[in-house]
Amino acid sequence: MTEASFDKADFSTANVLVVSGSEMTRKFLADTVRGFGFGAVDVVESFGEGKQRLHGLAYALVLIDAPPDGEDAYDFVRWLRRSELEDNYFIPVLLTAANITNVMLDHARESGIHFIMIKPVSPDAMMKRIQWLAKNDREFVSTDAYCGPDRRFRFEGPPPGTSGRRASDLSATIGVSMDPNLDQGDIDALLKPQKISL
Amino acid sequence: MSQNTRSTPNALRAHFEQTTGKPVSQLVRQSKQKISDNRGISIQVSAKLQRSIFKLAAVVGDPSAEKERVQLRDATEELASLSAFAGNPGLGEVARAFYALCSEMLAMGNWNQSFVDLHTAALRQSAQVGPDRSQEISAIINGLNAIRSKL
Repeated sequence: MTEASFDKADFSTANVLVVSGSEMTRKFLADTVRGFGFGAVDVVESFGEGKQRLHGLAYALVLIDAPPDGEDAYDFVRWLRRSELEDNYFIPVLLTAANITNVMLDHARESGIHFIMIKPVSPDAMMKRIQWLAKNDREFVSTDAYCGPDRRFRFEGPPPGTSGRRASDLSATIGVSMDPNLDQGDIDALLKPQKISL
Repeated sequence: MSQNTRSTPNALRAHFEQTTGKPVSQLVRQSKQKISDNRGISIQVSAKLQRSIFKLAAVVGDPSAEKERVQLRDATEELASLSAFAGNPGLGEVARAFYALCSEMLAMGNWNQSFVDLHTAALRQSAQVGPDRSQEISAIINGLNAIRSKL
């Protein structure tokens, strides 16, 4: 899909879940996504209510406002990732927080959150993140230690000397060639310089 | 150790592929309008100011006064969120005025439970002014001073 195709959107049939213990933040986040045209915006005050909603409706996005220590938010996301709720276990989760340390960042990433935004959050910034989430095609990882979107943003192969941890990782060992080698003329043809117009 | 990975649907992507889609710039404008309309104000404060206020509010006060700090944080977050519509740089005087007010209130130990309401009132007062930034700044400062006078 080209870059330009993410410049238009119709969210009228998409649902969003907003979870925040702060009334002001709930209202602000809800107004932000309602303004974007999301079909249904469910706003809840607690993570317990959030869990109940996730059992009932398929969402396209979850917005969580982290409480000061963040732990409840991370537990909620870990629960979601392992919940096996057919329509929701893999959905993007975007966390907003007032203040975030490196330790909190690690915990958030390890819990399976897609993206973290530092408050105050503007509609422009929120939309950019939604576009990024829409473009993002990371696979979903399920292991005993971690469950959530692939934490790798770039994949440059397994670390040297290892065979990779994922079933989809290719072995670094190259097998015996099944086809005849190219002759020098074929190789030269591949690298033949050509004039081009700039 | 091999990990179990699988592809999952990207529900958000599907909504960018709709033929009925509107430009995202229009959706962002709609969002800003809804935020403004639901608060009865249209305030233009710089993004720089919003961050200054937010950071100041996070450190002001006695760490043991958690309830007051939460109220203060919520109030400044509201102001900062509304100021996310960007605009005028370097409104340090407003940030300083707000910081001074917060410090004064907490030092007095006389935290007004309706501070948030007064703060909202200050914002609403600022909404009466026009697009000229100096008037907005003055209105905000006047509003904050009004809060101080009620304590």
